[in-house]
Amino acid sequence: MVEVDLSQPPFTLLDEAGREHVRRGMDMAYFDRDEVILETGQAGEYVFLIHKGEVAEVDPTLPSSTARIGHYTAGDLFGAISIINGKSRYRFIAEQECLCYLLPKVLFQQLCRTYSEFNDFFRQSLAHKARLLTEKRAEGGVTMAGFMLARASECMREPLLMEAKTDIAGAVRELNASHADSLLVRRDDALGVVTKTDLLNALVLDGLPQSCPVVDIAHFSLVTVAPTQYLFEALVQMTRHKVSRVVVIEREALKGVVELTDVLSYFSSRSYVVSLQVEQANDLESLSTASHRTPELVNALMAQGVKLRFAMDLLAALNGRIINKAWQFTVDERYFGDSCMMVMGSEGRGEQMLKTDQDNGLILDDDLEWPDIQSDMQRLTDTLVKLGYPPCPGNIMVSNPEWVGTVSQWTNRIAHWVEARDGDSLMKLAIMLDAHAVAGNPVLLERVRNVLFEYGSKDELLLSYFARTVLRFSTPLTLFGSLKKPQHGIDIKKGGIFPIVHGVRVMALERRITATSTLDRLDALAEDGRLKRRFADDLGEALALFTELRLRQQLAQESANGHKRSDRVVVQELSSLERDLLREALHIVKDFKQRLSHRYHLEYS
Amino acid sequence: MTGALMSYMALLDRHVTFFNGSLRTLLRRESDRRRYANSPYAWLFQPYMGEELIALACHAGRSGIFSVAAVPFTQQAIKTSDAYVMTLLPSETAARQTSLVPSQRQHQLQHAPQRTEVMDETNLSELVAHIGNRPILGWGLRRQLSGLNRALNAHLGFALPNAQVDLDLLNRRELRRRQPYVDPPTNLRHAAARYRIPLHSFSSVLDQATASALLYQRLQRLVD
Repeated sequence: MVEVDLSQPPFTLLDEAGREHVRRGMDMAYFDRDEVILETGQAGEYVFLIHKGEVAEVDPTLPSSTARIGHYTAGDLFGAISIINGKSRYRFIAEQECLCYLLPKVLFQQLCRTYSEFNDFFRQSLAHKARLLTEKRAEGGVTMAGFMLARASECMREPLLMEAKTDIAGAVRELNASHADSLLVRRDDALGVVTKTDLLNALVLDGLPQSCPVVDIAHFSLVTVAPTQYLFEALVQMTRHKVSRVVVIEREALKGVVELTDVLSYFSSRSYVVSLQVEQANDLESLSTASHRTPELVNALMAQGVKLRFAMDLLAALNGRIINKAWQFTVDERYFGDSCMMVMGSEGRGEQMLKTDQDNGLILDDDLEWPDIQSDMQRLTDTLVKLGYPPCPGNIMVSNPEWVGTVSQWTNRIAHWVEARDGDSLMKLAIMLDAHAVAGNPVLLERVRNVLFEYGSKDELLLSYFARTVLRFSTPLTLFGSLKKPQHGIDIKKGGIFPIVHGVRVMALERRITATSTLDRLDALAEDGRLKRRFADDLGEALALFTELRLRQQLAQESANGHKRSDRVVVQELSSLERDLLREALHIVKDFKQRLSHRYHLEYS
Repeated sequence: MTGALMSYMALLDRHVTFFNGSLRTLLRRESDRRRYANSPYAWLFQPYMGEELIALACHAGRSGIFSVAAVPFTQQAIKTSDAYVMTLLPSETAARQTSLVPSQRQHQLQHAPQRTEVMDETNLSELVAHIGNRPILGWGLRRQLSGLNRALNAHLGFALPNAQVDLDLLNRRELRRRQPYVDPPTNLRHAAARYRIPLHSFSSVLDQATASALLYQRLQRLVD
């Protein structure tokens, strides 16, 4: 019967009776500095919960510089895996004097049998633990539940389906009677949508008679979602396709319609209206206002524990729309079909939440004549700066003629880079691989990308050179708690994000995967069989965790002291579950690096 | 005659190692041991050969209420799961069949809210059986034990025969060894803070017993 803090997972997965059991069943133990708590191969008799002190997890088979594979401090739990596996895989040593609570094996096993969630906690993958964390945070967020967890089916209207031969007059009467904004008609097997605007345009602008059947003015290219998809995704779809309603389809059957106004009233908090403002912006000024509000949106999404992947999708769609609008304001419409503006780097991967430096380029059709292109592009860059995208220090911008070119010029450049294989060329290849079309004609980018794949995917030597940078920064497993000054933290970008992003990029090049976002690439690689699904999921979760920790850090710094951003995460400030996740995520990165070295023969570099 | 003396000396030797007390208590224990040789309590008077100790903390309140915690521990672990914590009410209070007076209620909540029983032969022998013949350890043990032993004498007819380790004395000895000319005032809280024992509360008897056990482990390791 001891006073022990059981308000952290996994003990939150027990009920009060279970926690009382734990309290009654716990013993205490004191360990001196450098005392071995659990030896390699020793049978686990207890689960240890650290009350005070620090414990290192050591793999005695490794040389001492790399032997330290884990670090636990107050509030952390260890030894459970040793009980589950029967014996300890590693050695646990007290780094400082250490007071632990001991949960006896028998009690632990009994709890595992009684509480399935508690059991799962110790057996599940990182992906599962991360979900727990999100859920926990979601409970903290006040208004979150309704927002994030809403699915399309909860905000859907009954569809108004009409006979194909209904005329316009009948359709208007029916629309008014049912207070709907749009109706659906069926022609053969296809569904078409008719909005009130379509009806007005048909009568007034096209001068069609009221007796004209509605099927003639319907649009048959529908944007659809499944009823189980998050409402949030429906909003992303609307933003991406510039429509104000999506049709809900489940297994080919029509289920309903989700209207933009309904979604917005669902998300009535001001921040979510940014996407609408972007759509409605008719001049640079209103676009700029909307654009500068995206950090606010990010903040709101984060505070409410929205899963990072969805938030990134929305932000990527929004940024894309903002840049597209800027393009429309500055570039003459006649060039749209023969040129393609691409964003690159993190923007191209759609992994940028806050606005960072602009990385963009332009691809032109071989036959295009564009006399004052230089001044136009300078204006576009300046416009983007006004919209809150700072200029790129490496000058990777459309205003730089090096990043503007025709398809054949780009082909030559790529050929040159592949041949040179020096640091600068490899970096440019990496940037180019992440390119994503935001305005103009995306076919041009496809052509360039195919050239890139043609050169890159078979060239083992290039792949090896390309992959080598993954090993450039060590993954800071050993830095936990042993930093000279803890406030320096660990560099999560170099240690965690970069290896995953770049490693996945190399694999995507090898397997000719056109997706640009790392998470999509991972999906595609798993589909392709290049990676095991489980490992791909874990990598994705690890990346999401790093991004989220970094983003939170950046948001905190942004509100605290203007614009100084850092990628360092101070381990001591994290909760013990987060530390646990971070530890596991860094292990996954290490594992991934090893696979990469093996696949691309980096051992000798 | 010589043979009897020899065997008596052997007994004495055996016990001096375990009972670090005065000759009078020694003789008293030996006579108790003989007296209870055929009672169910006989085993309590046998010397203990194991590795466990019992950390004991008692607190006597007004109007006869009495709280006690006994926590078994070894040099490695403190078996808080096997702790014995109880508040004992004097039989006349229990006999009155009334609820506790406020001071008693406060005592109960502060020191040992886990379990409350009447101070009678059954409950006391349960406590004594839990302690067994293991050596007992406590801060200011003589003072702590006086109330308990009084009750034991009244209900069971003997005082705790166990070997005793007074943590206060142990701590003073260690302090004197380190700083011979300083005589700081000490209590359990100070000593725990001095050895950085991370317990924040010392109010309940269980906390005090646990802290004593931790402190003892600390002191033992310092000596090693």
